[in-house]
Amino acid sequence: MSRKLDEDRLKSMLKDMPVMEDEQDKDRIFNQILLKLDENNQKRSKKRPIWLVPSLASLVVIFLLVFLFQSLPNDYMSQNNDMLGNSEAEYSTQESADTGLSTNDGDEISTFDEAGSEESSSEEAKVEDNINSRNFDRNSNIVYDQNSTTTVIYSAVMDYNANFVIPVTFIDTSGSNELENYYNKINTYIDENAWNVTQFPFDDISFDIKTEENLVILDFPDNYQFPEGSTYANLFDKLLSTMFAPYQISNILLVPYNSNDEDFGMYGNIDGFTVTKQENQSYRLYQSESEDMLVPSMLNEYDNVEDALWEMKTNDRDLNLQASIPQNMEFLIDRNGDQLIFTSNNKLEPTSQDSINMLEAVLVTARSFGYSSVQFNLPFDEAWGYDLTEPIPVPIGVNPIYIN
Amino acid sequence: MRTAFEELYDNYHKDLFQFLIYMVKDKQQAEDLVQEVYIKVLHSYDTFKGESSPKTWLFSVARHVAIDFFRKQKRKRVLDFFDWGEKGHLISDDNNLPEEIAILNDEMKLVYTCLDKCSIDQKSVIILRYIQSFTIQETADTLGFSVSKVKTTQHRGMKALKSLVEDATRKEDVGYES
Repeated sequence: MSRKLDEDRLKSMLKDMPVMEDEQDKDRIFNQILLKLDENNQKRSKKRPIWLVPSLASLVVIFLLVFLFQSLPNDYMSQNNDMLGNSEAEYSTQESADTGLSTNDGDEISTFDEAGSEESSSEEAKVEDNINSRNFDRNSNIVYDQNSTTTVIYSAVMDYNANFVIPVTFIDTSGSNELENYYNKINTYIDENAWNVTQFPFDDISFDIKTEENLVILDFPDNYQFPEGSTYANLFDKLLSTMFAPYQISNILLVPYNSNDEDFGMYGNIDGFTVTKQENQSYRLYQSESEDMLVPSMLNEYDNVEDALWEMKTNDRDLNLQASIPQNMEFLIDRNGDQLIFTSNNKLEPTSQDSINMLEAVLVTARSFGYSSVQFNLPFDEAWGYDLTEPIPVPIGVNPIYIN
Repeated sequence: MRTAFEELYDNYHKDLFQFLIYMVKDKQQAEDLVQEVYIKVLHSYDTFKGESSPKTWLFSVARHVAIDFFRKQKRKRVLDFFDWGEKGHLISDDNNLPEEIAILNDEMKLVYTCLDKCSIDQKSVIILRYIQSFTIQETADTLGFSVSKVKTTQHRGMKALKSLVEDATRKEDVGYES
C-alpha cells in the first residue's frame, strides 16, 4: 500500500463503498414500529398513577396555602392577588428582548407570575422586596420587560466549582440608581451558599460604565491580586461579557493594570477585552440547593436551534446540569420569520415545574438565536398562566433575583 | 400511519439505512435506529408543515438519532471503563466488519474504519456527500448547516480522513517490517 493518498483516490474509494442493505422486511419494520409505539403508550399510561401522589400532595399544599393566606394581613393579600391575577395580560405587551440600558427609561421588569398592574408602586415593591416574593418567583426563571420604574442589572456568577458562568438578573423595583452604584456593590446581592454559586472577587474593583462609548472601565486597586488558578481566568472575560453585552457594551478596559508590570492572571499584561455577545446557546438547569437556574452552554457552538434544543434533553451530572426538556420528548421545529414554532405531541402536566422549565428554557434559547417569540403547539392551551394559543415573546433576562 | 410509513419507506429507506449503518457501523444497531427514526417521524407526521422536504426532515431526525446513540455509547463506555481493556480488541476485529466491507481490499477497509475517527459532523458530511452522493445543498439542508459550513467541514473531514488512513497505513507497514 502506498503511504501517500491522493484526495481524488480517497473520494473514489468512498464512492465505491458498498451499498449495505437492510435485510428487514418492510412489513416487519412496520409491525416493530407499531409494537414500540404501543409499548411507549403503555409505559405512559402505566406511569399515570404515579402522579396521584404529587397531586394529593399538591392538594394538601393548596389547603395549607389557603389557610396561611387567610391569616395574612389584608393589604398583603390583595397585592399578591394582583400579582397572580394579571399574568395573562402581561406578555401581550412585551417588547423586544434587546432593551439597551434601562436604568432611567422607566422599564418595569416582571417575572411571569408578577403583575404589570398600574397599582404596582412602592407598596408592591415592598411586597416584592419581601423575602416571600422569592417564593412566588421561584417557579419562573425568566424576566420580562414592561414600562415602569424598575431597574434591571445584568450580572453573572459561577457555579459552585467555577466550571461555568450563570447569568443572573438583579431587579430593583425602587430603581433609580445609576448602574455604577449597583455594579460597585455587585457581590452584595447574592448569598453564595444559599444559591450554591461562586462569585468573582469584584469587591475591590470599581466599575465606570460609559454607555455612549459602549465602554466599561474596570478600575483595579494597586494591590489587586488576580485570583490564582486558571478557572477564574478562563471565566473572567465570559463573566464580563455576560454582564455587559445586554447593554450593548463592546469593550472593557482594565486600568491601571496595563500600566503596572504585573501579570493579569493567565492573560499577562493586557489592556482590556472585547465583549463577546453570547449567541446560539442552549439552556439547561443548574441545580442549587433551593432553586434551579437556567444556564447557557459555554460555547456558541450550535449551528441551528434544533441542535441546541436537542442538547437540552441531556443531563450532565459532572457539572450538575439537568435537562431542561424532558428526555422522552419528541418535538419539531419550524420558523415563521422571527418566530420559532415548537411542536410536540408529548403529554405533559401543564402545571408541573418540568413543563414550566421547558417552556422557559425554549424561550430563552430562542432568544439566543435571535427569535423574538415562540409559538408552542402542545397538547394543552395553557401552562401555568402562559397562554399557548398565542406566540410568547422571548424574555429579556434569566434567573431573576430581587434586591433592595 | 401505514400510508405515511409506506411513502417514506418506498422513497427513502435505502438511503436512510445506508446513512445510519455508515454512521454507527453496526447492522443490528442501524436496524434498531432506523425504526426509531420512523417512530419519531410518524409520531409528529401530522404536524409536519412541509417547509423542508420529507427527505431532509427524515435525515435530520436520523442524524439526531445517531448523535443520541453516540452519546449513550459514550456514557456506557465511561461506565464500562474497566471492561475496555478486555473487550477493546473486539472493536478493531475484522470479524466485526459487515460482510460487505470485510470482502474489500485492505485500503478500503482502512478508509471505512478511519471514518469513525473523524468528528460526527465530518463523518456525516463525508457519508452524505461521497458515499450517498448528496449535493452540497442537500447536505446543508439535511444537517442544518450553511453551504459554506458543509464545504469547510467537507474539506477538513477529507483532510483528516486522508491523514488518518496514511497514518494507519504507515503503522501497518511498520508492523509488517518488524
